[in-house]
Amino acid sequence: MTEPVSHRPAAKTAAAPHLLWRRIGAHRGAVAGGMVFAAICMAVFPGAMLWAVDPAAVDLGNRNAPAGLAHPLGTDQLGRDMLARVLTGGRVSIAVGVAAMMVALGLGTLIGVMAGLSRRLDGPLMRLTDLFLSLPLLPLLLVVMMLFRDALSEGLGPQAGLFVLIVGAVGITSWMTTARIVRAEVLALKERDFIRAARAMGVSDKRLILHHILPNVAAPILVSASLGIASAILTESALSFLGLGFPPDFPTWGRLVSDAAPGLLDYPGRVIWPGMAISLTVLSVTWMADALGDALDPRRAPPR
Amino acid sequence: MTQARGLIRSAGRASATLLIFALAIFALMELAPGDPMAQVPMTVPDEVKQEMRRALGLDEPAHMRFGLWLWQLCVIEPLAGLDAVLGTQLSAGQPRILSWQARAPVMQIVASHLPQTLWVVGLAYAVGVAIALPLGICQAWWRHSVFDRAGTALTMLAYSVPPFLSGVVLIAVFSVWLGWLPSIYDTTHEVRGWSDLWVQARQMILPVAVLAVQTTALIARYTRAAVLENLQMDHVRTARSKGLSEAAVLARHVLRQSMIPVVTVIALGLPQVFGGAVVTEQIFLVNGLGHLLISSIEANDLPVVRTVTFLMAVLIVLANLAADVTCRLLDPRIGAHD
Repeated sequence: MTEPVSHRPAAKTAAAPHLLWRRIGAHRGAVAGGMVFAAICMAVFPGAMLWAVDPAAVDLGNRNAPAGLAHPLGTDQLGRDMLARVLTGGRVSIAVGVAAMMVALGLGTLIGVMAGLSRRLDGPLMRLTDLFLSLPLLPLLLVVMMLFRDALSEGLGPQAGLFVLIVGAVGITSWMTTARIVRAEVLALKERDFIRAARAMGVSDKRLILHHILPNVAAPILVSASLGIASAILTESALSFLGLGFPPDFPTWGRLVSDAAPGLLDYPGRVIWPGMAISLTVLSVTWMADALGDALDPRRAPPR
Repeated sequence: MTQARGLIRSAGRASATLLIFALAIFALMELAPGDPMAQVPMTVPDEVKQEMRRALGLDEPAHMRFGLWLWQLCVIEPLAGLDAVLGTQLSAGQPRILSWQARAPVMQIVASHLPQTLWVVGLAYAVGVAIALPLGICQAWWRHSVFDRAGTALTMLAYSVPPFLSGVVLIAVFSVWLGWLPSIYDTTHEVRGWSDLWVQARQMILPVAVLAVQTTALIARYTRAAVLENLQMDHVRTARSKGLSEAAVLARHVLRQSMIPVVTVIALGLPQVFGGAVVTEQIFLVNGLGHLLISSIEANDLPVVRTVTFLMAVLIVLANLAADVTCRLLDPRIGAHD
C-alpha cells in the first residue's frame, strides 16, 4: 500500500464507500443481521472469557441441573456447564465457518479472476467449476473425513488436525459460486475504459488485478463471503452431527445438538440452545448478505 | 439438428464428468493414509494378512484395480442388472463388485437401499418445488408487500434451521408429544392395500417435510429473483401496453423466461438435497443410500463407499442433464449457439 497514488481513479473509489455505507445503513435488515452476528461473535469470543467456567469440568454431584444462577442454561449428564459449552462450541463453529469461507473465497477469487482474464484458461476452469458443482458434496466430505482424520490427528494433534481437515475440506468444496460470480464480473469489467486505459499504460498484470480489478469486484465477493460463512457453519454442524466432525469431548454446536438429541424430551434446552445458536447465526449472516446484495447491486430497487 | 448436436455434447460432458469423478474418488482412497487391514488384530500372522489382501484383490497394482472397478461399473453390473430383470445369464462367472463387509455384490445391497432414498428425496423435491414455485412467483408479483417480506423471512428461516434440528424437534412434537406420526421409518413395511398405503404415507410425512422445507427455501428465493428480473424487462412493458391482462402477461411473457434459471437451480440444488437426505435418513432411521454410506464408512468398507458415492454423482449428473434438456425446450436460442 506504499505505492504512489498518481494514476488511481481517485474520484471513483472515494465516492463509492460513502454511498455504500449509506445504502447498507438504509437497509434495516442489513443492520439488524450485522448487529445480531456481531453480538453472537462478542458473546462467543470475549464473552467466553467473562464466563470463566471450564466447559469440560465434570461435576457428578450436579448432574442434569436445571437452569439457575450458578448454571444459567443448566448442566448436562456429566454436570458440565451448558452455557460454557455453548459458548466454546460457538467459538469453534464460527472459527470453522470464517476460516472455511476464507479458503473458499481465496480459491474462488483466484479461479474466477484467472478464468475471466485469460481466454485460454476460461474453458477448462469453468469445466472444473461445473464438475465440482455436480458432486455429491456431503457424501464426499464424509469420505474425506473418514480417510484423513486419523492421519491428520496424529500429525497435528486431534483438535488442530481436525480443524485443518474440516476447514480445508469445506473450503475446497464450496468455492464454485464465488468463482462464477467473480468471473462474470471480471468479464464485464475487462471491457471497461479504465481497465483498457490501465492496460494501455502498461500496468503489469499483478498490479492490474490487485489495484483495478479486485477493488471493483469486492462487492459481490463480500456478499458471497457472508453466504459462505453461513453454509460452512451448516456443513460443519452436519458433519459433527453425523459423528464425523470433531471428537465427542470437543463441543461444537452441531456436536452438542447431536449429543443431546436422544434426551430431547427430558432436557429440551440442551438441544434448543445450541440449535438456536446455529440457526440465529446462519439467519443473521444470510440476512446481512441479502441486504448487502440489495445495497451493492444498483439494478435492484432499494427497499421502501 | 443443432439441438441434437448440443444434446450429444452435454451428454459427452456428463460422461466425462463421471469418469473424472470415478478417477478422483478412486485416487482419493488410494492416496489416503491408512490400511484396509488396519482393523485386523495384531495376532494374525503376516502370511494370513497377505492371503486376505489377495482375497480382496488388493495385491494388484492400483491402475489395474481402477480399470477393473470401472469395467465392473460400466459393463458387468449393468449386465447383472439385466440378468436380474430378464432372468438371463449374461454376467455369469464375471467378477462383480463385492462388499468387504457383507461379501455380497454391492449392487444387491444398493438395490435394497435405493428405493427408500429415491422415494423420500424425490417426493420431498416434488413437494418442495410445488410449494416454492408459486411462492416465489407471488412474492415477485407483490414485491415489497407484507406477503413478500413474510415469504423472504420464512424462506431464510427455513434455510437457517439445519435439518438435524428441525427433524429432531418435529419428532418430539408430532411423534412423542402428540403421538400422531411414527418417528422411525419402517423399511420392511410393504404396501399391499389401502391401509398399508396409509401407514406408508404417515411414516413418510416427517422425513419428506424436513427435506422439502430445505428445497423450498432454496428454490423460492431463486424463483422470486428470476421473476422479478423478467418483470422489469421491456417486452413485459410492451405486452402490458398493448392491453394484455396481467394474468396473460405473467403466464406468457414472464414465467417461461423465468423458468430457465430456476430449472438450472432445481438441478444444481440436488447435491445439497442428497446431503440433507444423508442427515435426514440418520435421524429417522430410514434404511436408505445415505444410511448405507454412513454405515459402510464406519466399517471401512471401501468398495461400498466408492460405489455409493459414485451412484449419487450419477443421479446428480442425470438431473443436470434433464435440466439441460428442459432449458433447451424452454429457450430455443440455447441450442442455436452450439
